[in-house]
Amino acid sequence: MDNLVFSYFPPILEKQWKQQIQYILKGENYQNLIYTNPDGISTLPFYTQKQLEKKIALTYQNTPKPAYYCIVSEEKKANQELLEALNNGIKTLYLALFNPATDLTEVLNNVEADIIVQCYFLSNQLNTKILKQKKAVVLEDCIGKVSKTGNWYINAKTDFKTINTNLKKEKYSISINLSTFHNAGATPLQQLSYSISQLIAYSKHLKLKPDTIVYYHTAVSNDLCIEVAKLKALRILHTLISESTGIHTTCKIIHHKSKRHLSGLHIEINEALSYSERQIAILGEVDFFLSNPINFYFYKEDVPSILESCEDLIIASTETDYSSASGSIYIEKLTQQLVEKSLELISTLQDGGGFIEQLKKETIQHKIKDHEKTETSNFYNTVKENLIPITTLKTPIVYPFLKFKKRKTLWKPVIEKQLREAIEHPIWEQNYKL
Amino acid sequence: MNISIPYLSNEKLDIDEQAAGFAPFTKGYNCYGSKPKIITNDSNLIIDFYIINNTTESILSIFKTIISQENLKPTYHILIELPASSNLIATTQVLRTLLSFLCLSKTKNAKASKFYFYLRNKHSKKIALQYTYATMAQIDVLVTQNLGASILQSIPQNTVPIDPMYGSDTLKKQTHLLFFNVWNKIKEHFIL
Repeated sequence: MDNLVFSYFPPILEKQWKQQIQYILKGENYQNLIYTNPDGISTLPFYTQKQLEKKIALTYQNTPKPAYYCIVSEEKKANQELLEALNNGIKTLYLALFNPATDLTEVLNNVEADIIVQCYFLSNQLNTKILKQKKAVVLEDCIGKVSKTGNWYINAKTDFKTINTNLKKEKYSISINLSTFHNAGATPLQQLSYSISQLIAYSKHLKLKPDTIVYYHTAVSNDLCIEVAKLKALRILHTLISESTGIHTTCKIIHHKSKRHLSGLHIEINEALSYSERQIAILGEVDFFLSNPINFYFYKEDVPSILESCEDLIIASTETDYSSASGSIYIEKLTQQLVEKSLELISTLQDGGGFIEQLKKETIQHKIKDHEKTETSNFYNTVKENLIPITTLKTPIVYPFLKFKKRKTLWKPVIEKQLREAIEHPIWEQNYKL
Repeated sequence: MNISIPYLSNEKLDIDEQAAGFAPFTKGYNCYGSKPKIITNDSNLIIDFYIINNTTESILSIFKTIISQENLKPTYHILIELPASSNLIATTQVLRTLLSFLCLSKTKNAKASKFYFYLRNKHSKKIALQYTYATMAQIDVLVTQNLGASILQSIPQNTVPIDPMYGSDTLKKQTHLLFFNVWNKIKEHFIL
């Protein structure tokens, strides 16, 4: 095709291209057209192979799988929900557990699938006998807990000791929550650097084995190219850091719906963003993409049936050719810049004592807050009012904005914040406050 | 901490290439930064051609019609109803290239007619992703409902280069396949 096209439209050298641009610009500076994002990464008006003198010698191919997200509160109800999801074609289940007294035997009765159990407590309190007969993994994340709440489960020493004991057993692993930083308003570079710094902290405090799989919880925005690059960079950084520690762990990525961009009023905005984010995650070749959990629906009328959630997931897995971003010069260039800049920031964090020390000093929290403020203010400059009117009042079932209870903490936590809360909160108060 | 990134040199560095964004594949440099226009009322739209489902057959039908016309019209309006995916980008690139060939063949001027591309959004749920792909594919107009337009206005927009997927192996394969599927059936009508 190139030969045929070139015979009628000869190849254009980059120099000729720039000359053409100068002509069209009528003297305006070409540099003015280069967009630089808050991470200091530049976007040029066009890319050719010349912009990619080298390529990172690490590539990954992955087939993203749909997984059903179940928040386990009542065992029997959860079991019915999981069985219905399986009947509707889902093969992987993601369970969020908040209560150590949960009877997993009842939850997983007759459930045959790949199971990921995320514990929001130290899992030694959980009876996991049933999991021995299942294809399952139990995930724990004590650094994620202290980042998000400002407190350890018990204290640093006990938390790490408990997880270390669990890691000696089969079916236990650790997770790292990148989505906390995303939801708090961190830049992609900050999200990557803070997450990988957590990996370094875990490597120091835990006895990770070469066969350990580290699970990353991620969330993305609607910016396709940078987010695909972020997901690609995450795998590369994980490999580089895990090789540098001598423990060649692998990683898996679980995509969650972003809370940062959630609307507290309009299901239509949430559906559009959720759909777009999921397809972007698939394009970024995540390992699993999840259905939206029940607490993402704030009004009774919006809650989908289990069948609808499963159908959505299965359709999503067929709609995007997950390898189609592979080879894009722009995305490859973004990935390289993210990897290079992340390594610099990770190095600075290590020089400053590492992730936990920087959290104690509240440096990380301040850096995220700085960007969060800028991002929010830029957003309000473009969207000044609530553009979708509320025509019918719905039945609220959950308070739609992220709540943070003030309590005694070791240090300030990383607080998740919805981008459009300042616009939507007064409207919600006016319409729904009981 | 001193970690080096394993790099390989880019073997495609010296190949002849049509600079990304340069005609005929895309609309050209002066469209950098432009976004699809959003319209919510399509009752006044006059569409010359539709591309639905079977892309090859739809494109062939466009060419057969234009080839049979004695003179080219100054403008043509083409409505595309394809999902937001790399196939949408491949389709617009193939169309732009072949339409340039066609103009060149009929008038010796590759820009003799202007072709406007429209993309229809049917489900508000898909509007954000369709807008992203429409921007990447340099679609001129996105046709949606009021709700779709309102959703778009309340979502932050991003800056992308011209043809940001340039270099993608999948996109290249899709473009080549579609191009030759059509070209092999119409090339005898071209005097280039």
